[in-house]
Amino acid sequence: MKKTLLLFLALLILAGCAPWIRTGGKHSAPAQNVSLDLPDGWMRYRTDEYLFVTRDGGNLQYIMVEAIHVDSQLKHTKKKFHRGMLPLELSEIIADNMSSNQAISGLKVVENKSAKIGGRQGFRAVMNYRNKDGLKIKSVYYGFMKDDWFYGVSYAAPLRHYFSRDVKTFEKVAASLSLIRK
Amino acid sequence: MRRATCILLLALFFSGCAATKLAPVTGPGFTKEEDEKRLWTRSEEEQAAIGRSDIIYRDKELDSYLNGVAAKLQPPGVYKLIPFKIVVIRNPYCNAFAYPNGAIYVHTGILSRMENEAQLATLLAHEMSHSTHRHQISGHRSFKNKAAFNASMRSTLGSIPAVGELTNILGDIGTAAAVTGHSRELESEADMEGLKLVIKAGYKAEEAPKLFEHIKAELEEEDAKEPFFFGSHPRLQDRIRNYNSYLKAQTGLKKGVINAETFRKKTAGAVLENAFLDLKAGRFKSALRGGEKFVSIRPGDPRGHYLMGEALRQRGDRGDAEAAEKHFRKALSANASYADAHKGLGLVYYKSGKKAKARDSFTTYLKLAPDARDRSYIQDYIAQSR
Repeated sequence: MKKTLLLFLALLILAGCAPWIRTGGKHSAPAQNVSLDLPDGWMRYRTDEYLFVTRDGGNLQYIMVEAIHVDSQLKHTKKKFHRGMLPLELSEIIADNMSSNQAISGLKVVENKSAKIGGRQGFRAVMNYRNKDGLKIKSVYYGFMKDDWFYGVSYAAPLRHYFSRDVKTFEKVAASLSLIRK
Repeated sequence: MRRATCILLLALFFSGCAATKLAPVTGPGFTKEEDEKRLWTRSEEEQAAIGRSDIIYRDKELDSYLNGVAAKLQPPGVYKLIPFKIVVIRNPYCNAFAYPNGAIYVHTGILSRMENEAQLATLLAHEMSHSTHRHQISGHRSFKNKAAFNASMRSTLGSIPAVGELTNILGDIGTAAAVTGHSRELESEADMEGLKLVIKAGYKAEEAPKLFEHIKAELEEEDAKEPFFFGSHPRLQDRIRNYNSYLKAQTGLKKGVINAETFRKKTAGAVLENAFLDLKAGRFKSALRGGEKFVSIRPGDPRGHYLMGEALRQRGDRGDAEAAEKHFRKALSANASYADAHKGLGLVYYKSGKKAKARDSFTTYLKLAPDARDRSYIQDYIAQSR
């Protein structure tokens, strides 16, 4: 009996620690201050740093939502977001952050235009690059600024097969995004 | 992180102590040993991977110049043993590294900082000495479990911004040479052997320690967060001291050439390229310094002023908008149809509320660059400026 109980408790603990959670439907991410519709059957990585979902694994496709405060340091560029930045300026920072990442190469911004996201004026940039394994990746990035926070929602997948397969799913996710605290 | 770095440095320190000193390739009857042959083969594979990436800065005139300077430092007999080849890579951090087979990679960051050919010769001679004195194989042999060491090194370095990622492109040998450097003993040997080559080639030896002063200046500018271990402060100070004490004991060092003007002209393109890399990386101070240097070499080229205008506009400190406007105007006075300068000017005006001027600049920009990728933004800003 004691052994069964211990086994049950161990299973409970392990289940609680599982890094991936099956997801779908309306989802609130208070840490990112966003609410959005996640695709059914995709897996969400358990972290408060960002919202990260994938269907087949991060190397094959992912959708990521991040909220970055103006005081935060970006990973690859020392540029920072400022309150009141224009969408064009925001898109330049995102592209510069990515092109300063030496794990990727040949980054090209193939499309960059103003777009509505989360009910606000922002940008939509499409970028192509090669990852560290030399695989061609295509990425779509939406971003906008609200007060002292930059919000970004992005999708990346290998150009071949995967990008076109899930890009519509991503566009639905992006279109459903709204801020929890307006 | 600090703990991991300490462990790594300790490992490197002890490995340096354990390394067996090998005779240089210029010694009598030199032949490569079996593991050395394998290291050369792996080096070639790593270099092929670097060549496939987009980090190579391609400028035939500069390559020819750099290889010409290198050829002055070593006699043809040494080139038969090690076919030295100098390649420039697009990276704004001050660094250079050598493979055992003589491939030497120089970052645009250090090229941009240096002032003359004598300093360049010091850098190349130092890196060449690593290869002629077989430092890479000495270091390689000192790690018993190389795979485990490389894995832990990559894991530690991987979290260092701007450099960790470089290890994804360089292989194990390149990472060891570029990021961790060699033991103190081997670095000192390369310094002193290199210095002898510099003096022998007729360069002004007094310029040699200035090379390390540039790296030190970058460390200080970066608030001592420079991630390359070879450039860490205590070792750098030791090296500057070593150079100076060696030079004190020599005579006739005031003589010799520095070839500053040739160097500046040949490296101008790399200086500009590096300044744009600095700008992308948000290193505004470095970008502005690079822009100023480029303008001083090629005053009639609008790109230098455009770059400075962009750096100031993007930094956005007090007074930057006004200074940016001046640089954009200077760029346009050099070339009135430089589209990007019109856009920069438009953004400065737009953000400062000068809507009519913004509209004019944006309209000119779209006229000059009808297929601009950012057309939709600019059209929005024109509409909002009416």
